Amino acid sequence: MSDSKHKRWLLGELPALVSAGVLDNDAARRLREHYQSAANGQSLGMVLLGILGAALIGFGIILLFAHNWAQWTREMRTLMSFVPLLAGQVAVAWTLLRRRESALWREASGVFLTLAIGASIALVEQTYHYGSGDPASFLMVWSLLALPLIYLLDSSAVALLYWAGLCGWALCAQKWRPDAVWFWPLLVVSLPHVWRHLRSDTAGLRSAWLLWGLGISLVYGLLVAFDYLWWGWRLLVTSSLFAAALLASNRWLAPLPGKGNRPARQFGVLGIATISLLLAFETPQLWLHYHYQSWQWNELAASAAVLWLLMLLYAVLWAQAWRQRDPLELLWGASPLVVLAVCWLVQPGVYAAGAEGAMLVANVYVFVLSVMTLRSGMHRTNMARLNGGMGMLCLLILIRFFDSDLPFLLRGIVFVLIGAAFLFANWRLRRRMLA
Amino acid sequence: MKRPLLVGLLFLLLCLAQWAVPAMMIQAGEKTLEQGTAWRFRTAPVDPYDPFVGRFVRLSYALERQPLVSAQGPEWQQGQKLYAHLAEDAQGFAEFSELSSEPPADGDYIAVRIRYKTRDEVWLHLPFDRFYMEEHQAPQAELAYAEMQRESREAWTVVRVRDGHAVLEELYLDGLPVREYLDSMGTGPR
Repeated sequence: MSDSKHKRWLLGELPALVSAGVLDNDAARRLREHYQSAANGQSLGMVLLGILGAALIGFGIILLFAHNWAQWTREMRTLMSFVPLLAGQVAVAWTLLRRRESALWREASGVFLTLAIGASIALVEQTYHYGSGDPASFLMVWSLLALPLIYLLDSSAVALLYWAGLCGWALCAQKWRPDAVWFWPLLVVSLPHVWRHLRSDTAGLRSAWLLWGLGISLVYGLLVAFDYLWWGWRLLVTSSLFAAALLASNRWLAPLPGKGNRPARQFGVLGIATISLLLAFETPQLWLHYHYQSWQWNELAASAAVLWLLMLLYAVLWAQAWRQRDPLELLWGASPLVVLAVCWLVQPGVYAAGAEGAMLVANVYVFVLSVMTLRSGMHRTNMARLNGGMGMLCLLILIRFFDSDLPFLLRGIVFVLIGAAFLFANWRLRRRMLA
Repeated sequence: MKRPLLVGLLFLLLCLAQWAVPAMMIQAGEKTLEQGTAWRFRTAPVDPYDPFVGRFVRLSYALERQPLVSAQGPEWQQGQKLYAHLAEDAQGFAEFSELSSEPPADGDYIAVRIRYKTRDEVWLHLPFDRFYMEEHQAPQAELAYAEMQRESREAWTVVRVRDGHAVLEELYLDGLPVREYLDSMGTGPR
């Protein structure tokens, strides 16, 4: 008997178990919620295949219309503009009436209708030869018309599409003039959906996808909506987001069941490592130096509010971490302070005095961070941490060796030594784990 | 109100909104095509691609570049919406008699945006810079235009204008609608 059959059998037994007094009503409800998707006969694979199928059909329809059939009259085109929309709406109506409990139908019909909205508007644009002037309006209208589907269908795939639309809109809107500040309130209106699933299925794949999607959208929003700021300041803001995610995963999200804090932690670690390694290069540092601009106190109050909220969040989390005095956590969480130091050192006046200062700070930081991570991996017998630290160290050495004029012989020897150390550390750890 | 009823009602409203957007775009287009004044704009077509809307002929216009003569010019910003007042030149093609930040009280005008600005010139974005064609025809239109240009023949568009809203009606190559021109050259639709 398959796993889902076991679960269906268990759900069928629940009323009898409650009436026999083996389980109370609360426990039965929790079990029912926990195994509901299996009872619907839908595995995660089926839902994903459903989403993929709906997305492929939706994109296929967009491409079919994009062919621009020369034989179609204007009246026919006008009529055809509504066909995909109607098909999508019928699919969603059917889902709401008959398949409300089915995640497969909710996600797939939601994705299809979302794409149909875009196809419909695009076909009207094609019919009347509307120009390229306003891709921002196109994306905004499309996203706004899809937004209610997130809640009506409880569809996370539509939420991911909505964020993609919002990111596209921000880029187009920012191209004309800096008015992408609406990105933030429009992102906030989708958050109750994330929160709901984080609470009900913390460690589930859906929550992980939502958190990753949200994290990527946030980074994108920070980089695009603040494009009037110098790159150094934008890196500072983004590194604060990564550090806040990491620190929050270690304390605020740590009590979540089933390693539910993992996506936030992975997001934070990946982001901090990327920014730190980027600053270890000479080219980005020089680039930051030549294009240096002091902080611009822009009139965009909404963006500034996001900025200050983020900084405040980071400061509170770092202060909490400081009280627990976990050196590794403090070190990873200190990434924005390192970026801030680099931003100060690459200023024209300061940089002239000690041109290598900023490079030194970034390189020392990555070195200490990777060694401490590696050491902690050894002590706690944590293979992922050990290899993560080792990987960062290798990348740092790689950067230094491509970025400097050291002789090939020396580079070769150091690479062999690092490789040998890598194998030795893994061997030692594996022996300790087996012991 | 019961929850399913509320959900149904909200979905109905959403469906109406989803129909209203293309319907309003269609209505604006139809009204302009039916009631708008026809203007001819000299143009130069090239063939690009949009993954959503398909293959089109991108049109550039000499009118996109305008001298800055208005006293308001220095205050104008990139991306700002302006109103271009339409007039006819000696050959019967459209030209801009004035640019203003407010729509004129009378006469035809189109809403344009500032693409970028120099000290004494402003580059405008005209809202009819795409002519969508069947995917095989658009590159052929570009080739035909390149051939034609060598013989100093002209390309122009006919744009219908009503209350600042402009809809591109037809692209003409050497006096013929583009599809007819391609047919006459033996490069019609496949």
